[in-house]
This record gives sequence, C-alpha cells and structure tokens, in this order.
Amino acid sequence: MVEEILKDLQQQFKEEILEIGEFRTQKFLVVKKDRIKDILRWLKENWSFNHLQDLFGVDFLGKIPRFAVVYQLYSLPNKVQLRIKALIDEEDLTIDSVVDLWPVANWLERECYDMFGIIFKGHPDLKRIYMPEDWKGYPLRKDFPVKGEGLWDGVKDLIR
Amino acid sequence: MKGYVLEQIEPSKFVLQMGPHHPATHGVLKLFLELEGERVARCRPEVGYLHRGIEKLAETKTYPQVVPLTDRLDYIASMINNVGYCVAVERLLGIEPPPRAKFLRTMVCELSRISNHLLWLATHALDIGAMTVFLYCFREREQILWFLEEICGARLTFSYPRIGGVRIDVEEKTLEKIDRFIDGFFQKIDEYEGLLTENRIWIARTRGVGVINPEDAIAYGLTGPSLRGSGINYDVRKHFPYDAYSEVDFEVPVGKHGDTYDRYLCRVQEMRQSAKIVKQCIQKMPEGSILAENAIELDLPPSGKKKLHPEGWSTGAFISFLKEKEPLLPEGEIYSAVEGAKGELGFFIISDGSGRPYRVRIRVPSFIHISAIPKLAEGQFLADVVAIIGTLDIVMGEADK
Amino acid sequence: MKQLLKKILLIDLIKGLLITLRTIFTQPVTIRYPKQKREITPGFRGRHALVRDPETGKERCVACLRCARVCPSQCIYIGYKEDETSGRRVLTKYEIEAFRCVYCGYCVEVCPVNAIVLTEFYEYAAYDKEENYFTKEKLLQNWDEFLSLYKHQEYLNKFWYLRGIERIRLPYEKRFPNPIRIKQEG
Repeated sequence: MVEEILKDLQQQFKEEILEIGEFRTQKFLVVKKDRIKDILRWLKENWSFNHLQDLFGVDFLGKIPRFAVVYQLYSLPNKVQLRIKALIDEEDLTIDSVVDLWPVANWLERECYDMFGIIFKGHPDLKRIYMPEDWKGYPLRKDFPVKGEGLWDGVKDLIR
Repeated sequence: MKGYVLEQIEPSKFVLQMGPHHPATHGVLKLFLELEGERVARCRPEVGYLHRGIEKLAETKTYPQVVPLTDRLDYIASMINNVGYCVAVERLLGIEPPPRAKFLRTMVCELSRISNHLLWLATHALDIGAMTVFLYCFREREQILWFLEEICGARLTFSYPRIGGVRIDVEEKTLEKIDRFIDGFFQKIDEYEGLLTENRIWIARTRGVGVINPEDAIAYGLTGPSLRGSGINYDVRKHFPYDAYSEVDFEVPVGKHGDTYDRYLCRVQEMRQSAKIVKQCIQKMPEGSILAENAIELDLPPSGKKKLHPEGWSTGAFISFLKEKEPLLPEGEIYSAVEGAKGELGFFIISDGSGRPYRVRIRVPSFIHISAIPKLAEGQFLADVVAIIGTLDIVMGEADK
Repeated sequence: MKQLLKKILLIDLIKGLLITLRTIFTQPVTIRYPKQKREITPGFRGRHALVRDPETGKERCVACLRCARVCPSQCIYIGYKEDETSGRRVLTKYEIEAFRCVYCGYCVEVCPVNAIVLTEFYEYAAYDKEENYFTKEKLLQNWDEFLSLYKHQEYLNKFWYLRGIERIRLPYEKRFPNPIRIKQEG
C-alpha cells in the first residue's frame, strides 16, 4: 500500500520531492517547502490521511538548509504511516500553515514558532505558547545555551 | 507588564479568568472565559506555567540518563512514559528485549493505567460533587502504589524500565500479592459503578455535555479514551503492538454518543480490561533473563567508540583486553507511539551516532486535548466547563513538558 | 412502566446509599502518622549513605568515578589522588548535593564494589540547606544512624546483586548477595 502511494506521489509532484528514504521499515519523504500544502491536501483527500499525529521542527546547525518541519501522518482506514519533511532555509523562515486541513495544527504550529522562530503564513493567531510573551530568542535552536541568556526582563521588574 | 495588549470586548460580555491557581483545573491551566449570562461565548486556554524544557535537556544527556526525565511528564502513570521512551530507543537501535522483560513491562504498565484511571475518577467525581468516590478510589490506588514500591523502590517516579528490558527482577511473593488484589478488584469497580452509573444526578450532569462527533474528534487530534467515546476504534496497543500486548487477550471499549457519560463508561470498562491483562500476565509469565544481550550499558559514554569483549558484549572500564572498536550506535530517526493513559504518547528520536540523542520530540496527548477545549465548551454552561476539563483527563506536567 | 416506578421510588439513589451504609461497618484503612508508621518495603530509595566496610571500618569506595558519570543530575562531586607506592587511587573528597538528586538509584546499580546505598530512611527534613549537602563524613554518619535503627540482623539492598541479569555481565562483587552483618552491642 505504501509503495502505491509513493509511486502516485512521484507522478504528481515530481519536482518537489528531493529524496525518499526508509529506516527500520518507516518510510519518509524529503520535499521542498513551496507546494507543501498541495501535497498534504492531495494526500488527505485521495488516500484519507485523516490523523495528523505530530508536527514539529528540527534544527540542523551547520547544514544548509538549516531547519526542517516534519509532518507525521497516519491513515486510520488504510493503516498506513508516512513522514514528510519540508526543508527551510535560514534566510526565508516561512512556510504555509495547514490549519484549515487539520485543526489540531493550530497549537502545534504555535509551539514550533515559539521554539524555533519559523513563521507559518495563514495561521490565525501566531504567538508564543510556552515562553512568556516578551521573551527574546528561540529556545530549541542549537545555538541557544541550555542555561539561557541571562535574566528575563520580567524577573528584573519584580526584583526591582 | 510590558508586552501585553488589551483586547476590546463588547459591553454585554463578562470576562472571567479561571486562573492558574484553581482547584478544578488539575494543575496550572489558565482559562479566559467570556460569559454571556451563564453560557460561555468564547474560551481561550493558556499553558506554559510548568514548562521545564525537557526536550532541550534531553539533548544534553545520554540515552539511559533521559529515562528519569521522562518520568516527570505524566507523573500519575509514569511507568508508561518510561516504557514509551525505552520502546522508541529499542526500535531505533535494533534491540529486542527478552520475553520475561516484555511481560513484566506490560504488567507494570497496566497497573499504572489502573492507578491513573482511579485518580481520574476520583478527581472528576469530586469536581462534579460526589465526594465519597474520591476516598474509595484512593484506597485502591494506595494498594497499587505499595505493590509498585515493592517492585522497584519508589512510589511516583519509578525509572524501572531500562533500554533493553527492566532493571531488576520481581519476586514470587509480590506476584502472588498482586494476584490476590486483582481478584478482589473487580468487586470494587462494581462498587464505584453502583454509586455513579445509574445515579440520576450523575446522568443529568454528564449526559449531553461536551459532545463531539467522530470526524471532528480526529480532526482536532483527540486520541485515547476521549476519541473512543465518540465511536472510533483507535487503540495504539492494537494498531502498533509493542511489548507483550499481542500475546494477551483484551477488548477495547468504544462509546456511541461522544459525550461525557460515554467517556466515563469507556474508562471504567478500560479499568476492567486492564485488570484482566494483569491477571493474564501473571499466569503466563515466562522464566529467563530480564535484559537483552545487546542492551546498552547504563554508563554509556557521550561519544567515542565501543569496546567489545571477545565474546561479543560491551564491557565497562575494568576489563583490559580489547578485541576491536566499533561505532557507538547506529544513525537514523524513528517515530514510535505507545498507548498512554490519556491518549497516544509519541516519541520521535534522531540519533547521530554518538551517545546523546540529537533531537527528542515528545508528542503529548494533554497538550492537544487542551487545544480542543474551546470546541467542546463553547455554548455550554459554566458548570459544564469543569466537567469538560475533567473528562478530557489532562495533567499539566505532560502538557507543558 | 418499570422504569417509571424505579424513577419515582428513587431506586438508583437508594442503591448508592446502601453501598455507603455497608462501608460504615468496615475497618478503616487510615494509618495515623506520626503515631503509627507503616513498615518500609526493602529496596525503598531514601537517604544516601556510604557503606562502612565491616572489616576495615572505612569506606569501600575506590574512586572509579562511575557514579559521578552516570548520575542524570550530576550531583556527585569526587576528588582523588594517586598513591605513589602502590598506584591505587585514594579518595579525598566525596560529596553529594541531595537537593539535586532525583533518587533514581543509578549510582547504586553501577558501583562495582557496593560502596554507596540509598537506605530506607526518609525522615530527614531540616531547617537549613547545609544539612542536606552530604560530605563524606556525613554520609558515613548516615550509615551508622541507619544501622542503629535497623531491626534485623543483616542488611542487603536489592540493587547490590541485581537478580535476573546473567552473572557473567556484572562486576565480581555484584554477582552474589553478600549481606552486611550488623554487630549486636552487649
């Protein structure tokens, strides 16, 4: 079943797909970020991938392109799992939002923005979710130190 | 404070902040409610008061050192988090635990699930008003925590599973005690059901509250008993079997209407099925070793190459005759999911060959369920919001990572 | 008809009340701490202590630094120097910061000579923070205090011999259970 889906995908979106890989029987696709929403909509409507299991970002410091947004999909009627990685450059940190396909992506994309700084175009309410609203910096990037970059401004107000 | 923007609200609405300090929000959860009379017009939850940065910390520790970190995610049923992480790393590195370890992990996971559902029932009933159920459930939960303390030495943050198996074996008399407890446990569940299931006050408070239809439930990312109350049969233990779940016999209860009463019935039936699984595990427990042969050692070095004994297993620093060195761990990535007590708990781990994981991503069910509260609660009464938070079974330690 | 009768006569509420009436006549399970205490299961992970060897009277630690390396919260600080004549390591500083410890028990499991133990003692709350920063003398004192309260003849911690793992994979001291005999005074 997975091979049919991958063959179909390769026919439809030949220029977008950079690599198809497999590790320990889990298949994944590496794509460019421009038509990611069309790919995901095509997968959701034709092969009924109705469960978005996860959406998150990865930082590859030292590689070009630096960031990747990973979508983990599962199809409940067909029992097929698939992973799609969209590569993002450091200069142009934007990607389309998939909130109208799966409403669960609302908070998942907010968390991705909070932790990495990736901006999702078309998101209704993109603001920080875990860190305070006036925090500077993006914590899960590899160049953000584990102990933080000094005191937060809010604590300085309280101490004074 | 700087950085906040005041929003415009209409004059007829009343804004109520069900703030982080509240006895009914099960932790530090802030809910901004805009009320029109007694009905909720808009609801906006905010999380982040318990954020501890577990994903960032996990990148600085070696693989076995992350296990006590995962304890602190869902601290009510923490064995399941440990087993989830260990199963993910075992699938990534290609380690297969022995049969006795699989049955032990399954038994301990199901005991944790029973203890989590007991605490859920206690606090849910207490929020709605039935105070006796709270004390009855905690009487049984205390017994289960005594058994888990006999097995591994702690009551809350166990770190008992290990990558490749479990840490230490269980004695026969503990298994007999658990067996006797489970025999008497079915009558206790009948007691809780006798107090609540046919009670007209309970039915009036929970029937028709927080209804969600099946397509919306999947689209909003609900999993676990919250999804099965709406009629969809998705259980990770049956779709992606791990440990000994393919060798024990159990059913998955599924609801029909998608309201609070059906989710309550689902969870109570799950308690019965979990007790059945524990009994089968004790009967079928095989003999043998509890740790895989190619399991990684506890004091894994953060980088470098692995030393091998002539007969093949990896050694510590004391044995001086070395045969050859091979790269520490295979590279790759994996996503693996476990059936947590609240929903689907997923781990995505990227390994770059060294002793530390490159990226650990934890997909927590509570975070996603909190984002579905506005869909369930808008249009309901204020008293129903408390019932809805209880029925989704959220814990902030998990939602805030 | 039957449903209507059940509704009028409050059958469901009376069923619940009968359950609570029955519970009045059962034994309560409350343990009244601090006057009554529950007996501790062996293997409980409580306060840290360094084991005093019965033969030599000093600690067993050989400064292999495994516990410091394996600790997830890095709360063990060890200092050692090498003896010129025999080449062995001599322990000079051994400190545990108990407030950082997560009580996972990895240090007990990894120590090859069974030098450290998490005893079953848990009532050690103090008013100032320095009392819970354990130096080497304080850890040996913890061990003596724990033994004076221990009721049985010999002490054996279950993380010292790790049942279930093949014996050949463990260091020599951990292969067989060697309990510590407690000397009876008088």
